[in-house]
Amino acid sequence: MTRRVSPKVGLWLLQRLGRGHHSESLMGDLIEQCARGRGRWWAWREIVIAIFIAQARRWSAWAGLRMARAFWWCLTELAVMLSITLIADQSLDSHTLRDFIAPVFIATLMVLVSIAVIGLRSLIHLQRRQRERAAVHHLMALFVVMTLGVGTLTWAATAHHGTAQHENGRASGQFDDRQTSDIRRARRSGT
Amino acid sequence: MRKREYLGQLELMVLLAAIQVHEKAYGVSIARAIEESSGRDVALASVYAALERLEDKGLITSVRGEPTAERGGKARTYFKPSASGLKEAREARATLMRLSSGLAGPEGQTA
Repeated sequence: MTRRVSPKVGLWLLQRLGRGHHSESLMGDLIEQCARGRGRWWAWREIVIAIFIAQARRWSAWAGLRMARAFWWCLTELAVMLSITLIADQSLDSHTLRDFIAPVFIATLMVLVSIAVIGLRSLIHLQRRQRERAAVHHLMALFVVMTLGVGTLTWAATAHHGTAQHENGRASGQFDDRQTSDIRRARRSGT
Repeated sequence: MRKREYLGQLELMVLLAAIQVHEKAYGVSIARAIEESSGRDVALASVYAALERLEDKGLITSVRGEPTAERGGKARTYFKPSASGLKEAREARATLMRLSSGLAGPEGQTA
């Protein structure tokens, strides 16, 4: 049997680009098979296939993680925004504590908060899997949630205040077009 | 009916080959068993990728052997089907037997 030498460059490439759970075993198999007479062409073909499979798996996992992260991000933001709106809406529409302890309100709030917590935990888990700088992402997430919360509260307060004023003005007949446009401008600027 | 993740053709062949080789089944011996049974060439990298997927599904377990000079100091990884792997293979065989009853007639014709 002819003893052949395994392609060193190919093995080096495989080590760099073809990382998998069993890449070392695969490399060992290639060296062993070359030593037992398998040709260099066969070894190179195996190396190319191994690198292709490893890269395809890497990219598909990366794309999957990004998609999952985007999904959880949207879901978390939506849940946080809805829960804040719900609280703001409830506090503006009713001034009694009794309305706050209504089962429907509490159940809805709990569902939304649970979704937000699950979403945040999933985001943290996905970030750990990607080994990204989690602290930066957490700060960014906190900033976005706070901005959304403050924005939603301001919007809810302005919308409620503006609508009440509008309704009162219409009822008393003291409301003109100039006042309406002032309220709209105030809503847009969020003040 | 319970929800089940089906095995791909290569995964099933790799699992069956690992069962057939039984002792000391590693990449090359599994690939050789598939080649001998199917008459088709199979890439070692594809076999290892299928083995990784089977491991993820808990159908196969692996043990690292000792590094040898012949392998450039790299260790072999030996694969062994788990209890659920054997069960899965039996179920797959039974399903294929039932489904292939239409092939019982002469070649080129269904029964």
